[in-house]
Amino acid sequence: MQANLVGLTAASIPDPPVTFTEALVRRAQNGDGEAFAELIEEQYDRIYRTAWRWCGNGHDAEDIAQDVCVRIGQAIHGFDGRSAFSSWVYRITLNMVRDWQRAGQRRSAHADAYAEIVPTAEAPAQEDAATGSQLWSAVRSLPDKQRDAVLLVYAEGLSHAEAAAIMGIKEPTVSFHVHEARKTLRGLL
Amino acid sequence: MTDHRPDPFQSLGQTPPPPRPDARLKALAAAREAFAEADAKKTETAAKGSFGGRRLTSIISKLKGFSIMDMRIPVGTAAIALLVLPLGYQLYSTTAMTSVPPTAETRSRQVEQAPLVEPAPMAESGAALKQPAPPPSPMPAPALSDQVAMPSAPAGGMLTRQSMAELAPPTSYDLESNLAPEPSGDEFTSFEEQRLKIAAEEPVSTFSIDVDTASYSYVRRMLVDGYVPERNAVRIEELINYFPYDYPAAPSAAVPFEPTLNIFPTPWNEATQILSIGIAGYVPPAEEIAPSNLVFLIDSSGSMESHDKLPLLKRSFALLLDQLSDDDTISIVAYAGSAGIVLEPTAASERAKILAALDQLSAGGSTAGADGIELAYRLAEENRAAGTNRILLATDGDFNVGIDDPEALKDFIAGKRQSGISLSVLGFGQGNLDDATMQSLAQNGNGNASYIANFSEARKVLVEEVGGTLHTIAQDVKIQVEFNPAVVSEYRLIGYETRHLNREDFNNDAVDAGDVGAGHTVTALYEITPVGSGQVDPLRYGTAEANSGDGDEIAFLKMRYKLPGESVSQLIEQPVTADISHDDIALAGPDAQFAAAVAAFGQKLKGSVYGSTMSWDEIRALAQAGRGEDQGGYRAEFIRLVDHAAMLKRDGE
Repeated sequence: MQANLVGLTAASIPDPPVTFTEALVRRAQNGDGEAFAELIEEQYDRIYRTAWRWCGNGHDAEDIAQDVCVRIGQAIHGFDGRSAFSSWVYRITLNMVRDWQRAGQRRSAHADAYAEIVPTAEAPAQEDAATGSQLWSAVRSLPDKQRDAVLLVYAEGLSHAEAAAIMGIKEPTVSFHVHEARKTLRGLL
Repeated sequence: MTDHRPDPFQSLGQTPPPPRPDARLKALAAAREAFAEADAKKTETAAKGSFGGRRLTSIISKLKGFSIMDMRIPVGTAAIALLVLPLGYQLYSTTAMTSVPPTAETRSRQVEQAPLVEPAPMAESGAALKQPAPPPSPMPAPALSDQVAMPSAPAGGMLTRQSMAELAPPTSYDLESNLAPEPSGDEFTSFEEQRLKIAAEEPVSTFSIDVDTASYSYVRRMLVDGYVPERNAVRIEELINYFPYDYPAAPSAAVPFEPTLNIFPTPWNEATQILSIGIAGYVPPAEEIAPSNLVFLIDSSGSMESHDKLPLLKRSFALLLDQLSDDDTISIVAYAGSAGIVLEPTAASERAKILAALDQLSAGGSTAGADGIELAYRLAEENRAAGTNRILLATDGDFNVGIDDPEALKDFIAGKRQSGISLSVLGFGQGNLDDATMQSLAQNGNGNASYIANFSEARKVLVEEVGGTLHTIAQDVKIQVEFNPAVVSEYRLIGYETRHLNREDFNNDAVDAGDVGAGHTVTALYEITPVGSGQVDPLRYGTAEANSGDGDEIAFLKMRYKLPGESVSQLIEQPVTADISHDDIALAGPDAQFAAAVAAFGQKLKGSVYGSTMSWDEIRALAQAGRGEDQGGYRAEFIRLVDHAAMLKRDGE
């Protein structure tokens, strides 16, 4: 299995991780626990990063990432391959973030406050500039769609088309939301 | 679109801090558990399989229109994958772009596509194809080690083969892969079949004994399930050695076995004969067996949950327990999933306690397995017994025992072997089985690798052959046969490809080889061609008659073995003379007939260039004739297996 991965990577196939991931997904869907373990291990860091960007602190991100992983484990059998696996994972993650924040407005507010008062281990790394952190909190306070569009495009570095697929909207609409976000934040930035 | 001037949004691209490792591990474990649960549920209610995915996407569908947009990326990705994957694969397999050890499959394809590894491909291919007409040029074949890869269907070989009309199907490789999509991710070491050797050039053949039977169990399972096993899964010597043969037993523990020799006509080739070398391990009486110390190292990862894995394992070990004497000690260690000591060393007489510990073992669990193997060895060392000290590793292919690097794991096991603790591997289930690792661990651990597919197999390995599995009577058993070029022109060892030894290894006691357990029977078959009817033309300019061998001796057999615990080997020597030769295979006895039938079966199943001319009916008839007493019913089962194979892979295809 590992050798397979190495072999594929060395074959200079453009974007081998995608095909490799697809193979893992298929095997996991056939009930291969081994493949699923490898798959989720491969995805975890990205899920965690996404969660962190959306909610803004490590503790929530860890919890969300874990829930996302569990959800993937439960639902992977039903993943139908109509969208890319990565888009699917994004959708689960964003939903989870939304559920999480909706269910625990207070909790996450506390956590945010906590994160601000007690500088966690990761604090120095991210808080490189006061403006940076201001920007983050401003973006996170945007309406859901605007926030998702901005973060998908700028934080996750996806194209408008990819963001559109994940959000389930049309490509121009993504641009529109980003534009709206700019307008909303004009005073703050 | 709105990208102009320094954009504050751009700074959002920074990477967030990494997750804490323990949170990560926790999440992964939880995910695995959820997966295993969902997987189990799915097998129960398969029809609802897509429920989860649909529900999830529908949460988003309130953001309208996604289903149309949704299609762009997947269609594009699929198209690219379709285009690029074969292309990339082709590129990879035809050019040596990497020194990374390829997987079994890529290796075998590389061999097919790039026969350039051969120093002299033409001469080699001629020698490799025994049945076809003489090779294109009578150049001396360079003395290659058996393990050097050989092209299985080089261009030169195809020509000669076509001229042989309906002879061996041009490697049924393609057919197999078309007919029977491999149902699994089982991995096998690829190896090339033993090739024909010319006695005058390479009179000495050396190999290590192999008492493993995993290959037969695997092949049987595949055939019964309706698949033709991949050719690397078929190791002919393991097929042959699966069956008990009625060789005379050795008289005492000091000489733990004696060779039984037999020569009879080859059923698939009129021009050749088969030299059969059989040994039966000494069975010590019960009171002579010293107490054993067994440590079960059990894989409890989520994948072990299915009924043919952990539950079967539990029942199997309960069987084994009945075979042990009260002085034996048992411990149980689990790894992957719920890791740790499950049972502290306990006397085998405390049956209830041991069974209770086994029962509470469950697949899955939240801890990631860590130092399972070291724990197992530590327990084994602390409770060293006078008799066998052995670790029985039971797994479905997850070797996440604490040492990640396979080489390091092998070294670790080989190192522990020196201190007298051996390791056997019991394979369970299907789909994930890593046969190559299983084999190499067991070989390095001086143990055996068995594949337990069902309860009756568990009975065979753990009850009927428990002596062989647990009580080693001879270690590092090597066989060396020197053929007399005055009598034998060509010879070919059937099977044992993965057990090849160099000629000089025979007398080197430091070189490891296979062990024989109490009551094990081992059979090796050579196909030999008498002088005058060889396939390979004699040399025009070679040394005329270099051989000065005695005309009475066909070959000279030497065997080396070490008694358990000793470091200096013993030698058994015996000439092979014509008086053991039979004119008809029927006169050679049922064991000879049956072993030959199994060999023919293996060769045909592999699509070997040797002996595939025999029809399934002929093989079946031969096996039927060699059925003998067949106490365990194994030979009868083999005959049914021939019928399965005949349906899956028709004659002449």
